[in-house]
Amino acid sequence: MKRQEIKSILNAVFPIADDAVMAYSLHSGRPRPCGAATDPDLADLVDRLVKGGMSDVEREQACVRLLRDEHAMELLADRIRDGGTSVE
Amino acid sequence: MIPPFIVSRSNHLAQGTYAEDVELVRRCLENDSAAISTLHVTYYRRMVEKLLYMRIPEPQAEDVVADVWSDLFTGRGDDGEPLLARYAGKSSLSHWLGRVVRNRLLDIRRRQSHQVNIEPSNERTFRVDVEHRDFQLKATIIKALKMAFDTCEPTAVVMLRLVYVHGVNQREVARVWGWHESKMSRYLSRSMAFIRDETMRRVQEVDPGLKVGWDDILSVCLHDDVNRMLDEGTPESIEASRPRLSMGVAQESRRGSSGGPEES
Repeated sequence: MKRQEIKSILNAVFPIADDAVMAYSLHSGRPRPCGAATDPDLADLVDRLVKGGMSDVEREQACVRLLRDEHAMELLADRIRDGGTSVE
Repeated sequence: MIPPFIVSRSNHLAQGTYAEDVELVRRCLENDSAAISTLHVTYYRRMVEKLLYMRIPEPQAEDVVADVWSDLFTGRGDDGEPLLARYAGKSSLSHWLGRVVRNRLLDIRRRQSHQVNIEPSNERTFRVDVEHRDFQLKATIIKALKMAFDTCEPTAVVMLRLVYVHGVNQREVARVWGWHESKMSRYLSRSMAFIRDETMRRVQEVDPGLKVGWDDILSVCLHDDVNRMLDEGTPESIEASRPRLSMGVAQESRRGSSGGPEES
């Protein structure tokens, strides 16, 4: 399956929330986290996921929570892109 | 004299991987008899066989291909643009023609299924009915896709979205999970294969007689206002067939985990 096809499918099934679209950064062209930053639980979850150390089960449970919040997905994407990993 | 649409279309044909196909199409559009003959010899029977592979009786397959073949050069509708002019070289000509005949078959079947509702004095009702059914078909496809994602492992969905929607480098995502990049690549491929198979299965459950290919599903995702469809009601037949399935992939990453995703 081609990259663009997968992207189209995902965009169809998981439309980006309107406020997330509005929050696109003019500087980077990437969606910036807004809602997730105000939710300490989700922000903490993203931090712990990115920093590593979670078990497989914990990671899967974290994914279930993250999928419920588009902003959390954006936050996770940004944290990974910004090199927040320390798992080596 | 070459019609304007041929010139404009030809200028837009890609000159990449399928350059030979593009060149053949260009010559056909310019009524080069040798090229048209080559096209016929190379692809006509393949188009028929494509439909035979879909278990369409040969006489009907021949009719459909003959219909498409005519449109390749004369077009349909008011603009008279040959169907062949729409080939942009983004895929092989063989693949493209295969999709054309399959889509034509779907069109014919849809029309046939709607014809039983035609009453001479009620054309407007018929048109609304066709639009409604078409909309329902697309909504069914999107709902099936959504449910396929629901049954997929959450880890896979998160990874897919990170990589393909948010544009995060696959290597960086793999590092967060402590995976090798190749392992993640295989995992994502298997996940998308699962999504494809599960979606097709659910669509077939709704209407076993419906011949919808994966390309048709992709087409709906690419061209329609699918989000609007998601706001519509879910067909009951799909809802009824909604057991959570085990994807059977990436078990290696799920040590200690069993069954579907757990709520936290």
